[in-house]
Amino acid sequence: MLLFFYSCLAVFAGVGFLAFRQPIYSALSFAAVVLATCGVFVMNDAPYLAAATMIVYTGATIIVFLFVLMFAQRSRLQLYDLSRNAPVWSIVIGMLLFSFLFAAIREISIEPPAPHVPSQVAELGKLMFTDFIWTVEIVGLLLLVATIAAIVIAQDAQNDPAEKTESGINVSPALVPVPSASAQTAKRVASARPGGNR
Amino acid sequence: MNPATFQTLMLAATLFAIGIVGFLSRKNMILMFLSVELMLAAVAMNFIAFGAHYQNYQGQLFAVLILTIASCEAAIGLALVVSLFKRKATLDIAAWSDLRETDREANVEVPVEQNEPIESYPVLTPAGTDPLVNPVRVSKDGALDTLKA
Repeated sequence: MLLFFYSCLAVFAGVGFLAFRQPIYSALSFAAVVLATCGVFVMNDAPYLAAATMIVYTGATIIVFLFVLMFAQRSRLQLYDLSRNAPVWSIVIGMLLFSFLFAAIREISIEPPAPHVPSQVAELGKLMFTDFIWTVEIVGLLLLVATIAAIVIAQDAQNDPAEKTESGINVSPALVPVPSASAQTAKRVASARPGGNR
Repeated sequence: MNPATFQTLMLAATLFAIGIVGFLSRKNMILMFLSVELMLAAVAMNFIAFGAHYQNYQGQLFAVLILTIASCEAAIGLALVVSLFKRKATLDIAAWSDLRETDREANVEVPVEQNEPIESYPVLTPAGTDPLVNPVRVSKDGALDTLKA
């Protein structure tokens, strides 16, 4: 029953993630999806995973995403947030994918569940540090490499000496917005308003 | 099948479909990226469901690995998004349609047709005295002093 409640919560928040125009609200409803997912994890005998997901996704990832959104986004809604890219087709594709997955899940017949024993985090830790120790080490190494890569990529954008000498391709200097149709539209809308573009 | 397992698998499928709809339909780069994260979380939920079904800890272990990969992906992807934002000062994915296949047409942003501008705007009646006609000045003892033009 509680599992069903959490599932409904996750699906509703997911629909909100699709439907909200304001990207901040979308990111927050993604956080709601992840929190509901944590409830589902607890119902599925995975308390450690629930805590880890809550910390990593909601605590770290979403907050960093929100930082970037706030840093990149003006308070005004951008034009590209108002419209969707082929909404009908993407919903059709999503429904098709879901129906295939539904058919596949109904089709499979797996063994009846093993007798239930209460979950113990210590067992997971034992497994992690005996049988799968190399996997854990390799994933830790990957995390280190990803950290270094993120720092390098973020630095390159700031002062890239190759940017100007790149074989005749004049990479436009940073922070010069390309005058596009959307900018012109925004200007037109602004001139139609009495108060200008507030 | 165990009803709880079935329900969890269905939830994972639903979240995966929601993620792909978001990835295809959103134009904001960060939100497209969040959609991919949603799909990854849905896949991790499958591992949890089967792990709980078989009372086996390997499902949880693989979910932990997926969580680690997801955080790596978030770090690198956000660095890429930030560097792309620094180039063009927009999060619009259509700004990078130069990267498309050469035989494809550009996905030109069709500006949303705005409503017709309103013909008449409400007018506020000016209140008080016009400062150009009757300038108000503060005299030395602090009282307001109105000068007749």
